[in-house]
Amino acid sequence: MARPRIAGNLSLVVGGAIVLAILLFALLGPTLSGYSVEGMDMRSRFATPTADHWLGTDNFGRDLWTRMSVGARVSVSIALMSVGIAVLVGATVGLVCGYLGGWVDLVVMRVVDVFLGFPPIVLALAIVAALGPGVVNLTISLAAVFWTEYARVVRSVTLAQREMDYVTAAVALGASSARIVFLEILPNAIGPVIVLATLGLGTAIIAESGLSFLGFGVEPPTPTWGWTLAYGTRYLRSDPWLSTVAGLAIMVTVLGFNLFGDGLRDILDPRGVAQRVRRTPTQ
Amino acid sequence: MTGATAGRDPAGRLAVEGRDPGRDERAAGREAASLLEVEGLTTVLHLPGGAARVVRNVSFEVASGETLGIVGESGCGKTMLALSLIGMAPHPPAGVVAGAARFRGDDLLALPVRALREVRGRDIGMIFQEPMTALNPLMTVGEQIAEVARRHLDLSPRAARGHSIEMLERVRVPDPDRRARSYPHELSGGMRQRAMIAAALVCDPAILIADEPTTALDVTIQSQILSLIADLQERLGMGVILITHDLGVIAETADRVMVMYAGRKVEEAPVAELFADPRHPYTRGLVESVPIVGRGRDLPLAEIAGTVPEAGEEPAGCAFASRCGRVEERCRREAPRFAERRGGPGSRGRRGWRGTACHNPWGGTA
Repeated sequence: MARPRIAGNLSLVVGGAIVLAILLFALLGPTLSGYSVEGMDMRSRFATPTADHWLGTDNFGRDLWTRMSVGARVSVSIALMSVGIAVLVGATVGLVCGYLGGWVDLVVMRVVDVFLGFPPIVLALAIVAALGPGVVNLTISLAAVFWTEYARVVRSVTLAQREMDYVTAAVALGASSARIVFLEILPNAIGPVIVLATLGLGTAIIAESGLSFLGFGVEPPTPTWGWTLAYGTRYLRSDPWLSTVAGLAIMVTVLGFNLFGDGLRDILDPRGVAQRVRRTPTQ
Repeated sequence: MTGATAGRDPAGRLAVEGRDPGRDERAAGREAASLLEVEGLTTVLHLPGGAARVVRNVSFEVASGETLGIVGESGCGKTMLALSLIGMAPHPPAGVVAGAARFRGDDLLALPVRALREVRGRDIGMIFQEPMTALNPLMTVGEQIAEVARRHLDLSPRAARGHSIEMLERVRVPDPDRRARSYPHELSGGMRQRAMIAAALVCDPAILIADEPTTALDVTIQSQILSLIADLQERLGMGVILITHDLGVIAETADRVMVMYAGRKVEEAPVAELFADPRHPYTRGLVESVPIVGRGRDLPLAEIAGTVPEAGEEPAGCAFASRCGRVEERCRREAPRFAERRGGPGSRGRRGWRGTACHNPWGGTA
C-alpha cells in the first residue's frame, strides 16, 4: 500500500551510488589530485598506481587520475546527451507511429529501416564526416544512430498497450489523444526504454571511443575515455595498465547506470514492487 | 443467475421474481421524453472478404431513469452498437454508415471528434466488462477518477482529489480516502469495478452505458454492483443501457429489453412481458435455455441448435432461419421487418409497446 521505498531497492541504491561517485569524480578529480591534465613527466611514464599517482600515469607520464576525471566529463556527457536525444526522438516517433498506425506508421518505419540498414559505426562515421569532428557533432551522430532502436521498441510496446482496456476506458471518459499517448501509454511503455537506455550509455561510450580512435570523434588532446582505451592498446603487451583503467572506468559506469536504471524501473512500476513484496516470506 | 430468482410459472414460462415491485410501477408511470433516440443505426466492419454489417438498422430509445437491457449471444453486435453510439467503434475497420442518434439536440453520429470527447465521460459514461484491465495499472485509482473531474469539470487538482474521494464514497468503497491512494492491482475485482463506475459517474452523466459490467465478477459481487448501479440511477435519474448475455441480470435490472441477433434487433418488449411471453423464436430459445436450480435435473437443458452466422454472412431471408424451429418457406426468402404491436395485454402507455421481427412469431402475428 505504501509508496515503494527507495531504501529497500538494492539496485537503485548501489547504482545510484556508482553514478554519484562518477559525477563527483568528474567534478572534483583534478582538484583532488593536484596535477594538470597536460602536465608531462617523462621520468615516471607507465607508472602503476602509487601514492603520487592514484591511477598511475600514461605514456607521457601524465597523471591518469586527472585525465580520467576530465575524460569522464567529456565521455559521460556525450553518452548521456546522445542517448537522451535518441530516447526523446525515438520514443516520440515510436509512440506516434504505434498509436496512429496507418500510413504515418508505414512511412516512418520505412525511414527507420533505412537507418537500420547501415552498420551503426559506418552511419555515425558518415554523419561525423559530413559535419566535421567535435563533441557536439559526435553527439548528434551517435543520437542519429541510436534513435531507431527506441523507436522500434516503443512502437511495439505502444501497439500492445493501445489495445488495452484501460486505453479504451480512458477514451470513453473523454480523454484526448495526446493525453492517452503521453499520460496513459507512455508510462506503461517506459520500462524497456529505461533498460535499453542504460545499456545504450555503455554502447555510446564505446562508440565514442571507436570514432575518436579513427580520428572522427573528439580530437586529442581532449582526454576522452575512449581515446585512452584505444591508444592504451598500443602498449597492451608491455604496460596493460593504461587500457585496463579506461576499460574498468567504462565498465563501472555502464554497470552503475544499468543498476540505477533497473532500480528506477522497479520504482516506477508499482506492480513490480508489489510482486517483490509478496515474494518475501512473511506469511 | 443473480439475486433475482427466475422460476417457471405453471404455464412453464419464466417468471421474474425478486424484483422490487415498485420499480415497474415507477417505470410505467414515467412518461418522460426520450433522452436518447437511435434510429436506423448501421455499422459495417470492413473485413478482407468484404464489408460486413455488424449492426443493422437498429432503432431504440432510452428515457431518463429507464434501463434498457440489450441481450444477445457473443458476436451479435451488442458491443459494436454501444461503441458506435459514442464514436468509438474501432475505425478502421469499423464505420457507422447510416442512422442517427439524437441526444440533447445533437446527432451523436454526426458530431466531430472534439465535440464527442466532451460528451464522453461528461454526458455519457461507459463501463466495461474487465475491471481487471480497465484501469491504468500505473496510476492510483484516485488519480484516475480525479483526471476525469479535472478534464470535464475544470476542477483544480486539489478539488478534483476531494471529488474523487467523494465519488469512491458514493460507490460504497470502504475507507475511500485510503483506497484513492491505492493502485488498481491492490484492489479486488468488485472494488475495481466500483472505481470504474465512480470514474464514469464523476460528471453525473445523463446516460450510462454498461457493457457486461458484471460478467467478470462472481455472483455475490455481481448483485452488489447491479444494485449499486440501480441506486445511482435512481438518485441521478440516469438512463442506463445495460449490455449483457445474462438473462438473470436483465430480469433483475432492466425496464425494457432489446434482443439482438446477428446485428439486428429481433425483439423489444417491457421486461416482464418478454419473460412471460417471448414472441421471437430466438428470444424464446434464450429464455428457455436458462438453467433453473432444483428443477428437472434429468431433463436436458434446452438449447438453440447451430451457431450465430459469421460476420459478413448475410443470408437472403431471416438470419435466424437456419436455427429456427418455426421456420417457414418465406423466412428463407425474405427478411422479416420489425413490427410493433401496441395495446396488448400489460402494455401501459407509450413505453408499453412491444415488437418483434419475425414472420411467424409465437402467439401469432400482430
